[in-house]
Amino acid sequence: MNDKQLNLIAEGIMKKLPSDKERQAVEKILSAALKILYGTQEAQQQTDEFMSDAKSPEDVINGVVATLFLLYRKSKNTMPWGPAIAAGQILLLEGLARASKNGAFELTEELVGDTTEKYIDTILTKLGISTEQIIDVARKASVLTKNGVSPEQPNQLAQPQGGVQAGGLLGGTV
Amino acid sequence: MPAAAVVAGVVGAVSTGGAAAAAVGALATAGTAALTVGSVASIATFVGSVTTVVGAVTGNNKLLKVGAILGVAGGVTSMAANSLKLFGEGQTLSAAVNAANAANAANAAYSASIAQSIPLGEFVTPKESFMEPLAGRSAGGLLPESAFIPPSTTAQAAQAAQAAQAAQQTANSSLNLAPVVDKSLSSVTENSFTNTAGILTPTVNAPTTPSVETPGFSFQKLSEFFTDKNNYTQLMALGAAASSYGKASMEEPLIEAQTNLYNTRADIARQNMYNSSAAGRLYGATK
Repeated sequence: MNDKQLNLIAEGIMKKLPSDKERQAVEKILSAALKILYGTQEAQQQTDEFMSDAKSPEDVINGVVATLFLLYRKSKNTMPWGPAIAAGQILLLEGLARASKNGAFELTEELVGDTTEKYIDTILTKLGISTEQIIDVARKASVLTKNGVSPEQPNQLAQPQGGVQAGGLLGGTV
Repeated sequence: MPAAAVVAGVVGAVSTGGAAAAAVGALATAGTAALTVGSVASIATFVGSVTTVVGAVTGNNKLLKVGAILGVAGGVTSMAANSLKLFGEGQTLSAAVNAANAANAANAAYSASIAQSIPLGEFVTPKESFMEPLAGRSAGGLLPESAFIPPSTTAQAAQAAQAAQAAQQTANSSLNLAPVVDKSLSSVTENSFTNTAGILTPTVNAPTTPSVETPGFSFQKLSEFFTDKNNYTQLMALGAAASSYGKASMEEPLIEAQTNLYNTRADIARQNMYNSSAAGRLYGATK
């Protein structure tokens, strides 16, 4: 893959984010990441432990995930993980491009796809999210979708059926 | 490739400094996060967005399809959890407020029973001077006027105190809440119990090294689940929505990606033709 294709992915991710708010959050995280990775001497000293050359895609993944957790701590645990995962994907592309330029491996479309999959596996696992939890989200969404709720219809009240009890969860007054 | 070109391309004017490789090394931390349905769903939405784009540009169908489903599932569930207060968040909120109500009621009863056990003749000033500054206030958390009426027996007061304590413990333990005694109900807000979308609050400080292996997340496992015929039937509504949503939401970036890829390939082809031509070679030699 060439730089143009990598930039296409990065730009595509930014375009596909739900709103400007999320885009700004991703930009903020990326800027913070760059300051840590390439910024002040003090910041570099703090990240010396993962500031070496990547030898494999897994090295890049680990570095990106470590950077995200560092940023999370620096944000006093307020960094939203959704935008952070998107920002991490862009950092991942950056890292893969650099390692590839250094001759660590050949950057192919297949490698980018596989590394993305491993990156998602790694970051979600580190966040304590299991496959079953995501499947649970999908099941809940399936019930809601049957009732006509979609992400584009935020004001439409769902009338849950099946496994979801109607109304009882809200308690009427909350 | 210039320093941080991919990142700078989307961030804009960012000073990137040196050309060190991207962060590499052992994972420094592993957080244990308190995950609500809403926060997991929000994260799923972003994962869906990321993987659909990568899948579209790299031609990885697994990323594309699973990403589309995740995008829909995360979007629908996140919205339901955070806006409609369905699932865990709403349930937790309702139960928590109910528990706080019960605890406050218990607290008031407990305070009253304690007051009833005080020998009034010795410690309580005349009713008028004591109560006057409190006139007009509601009884919540304060001693009701009836508290200054001597109980018929001390045993009745003790029984009331025991009952109040038991009610309070039940209220607190029902959701494992910290005692909310002496706190007004108004301090129990939605934000006290729910996370905003995507913001996680670790319940345990992040250890320096991962010590406990969790079941973890597997994109491959998720893909297999979604493509399993039985599960797909079960999730048919979601699959249909994902197709529709995916088509609408991916159309633009897909077309643009394909157009740009075509342009890139056309550029390369033109460059190759130019280089292979006599004029190109001549130009290259004289350059």
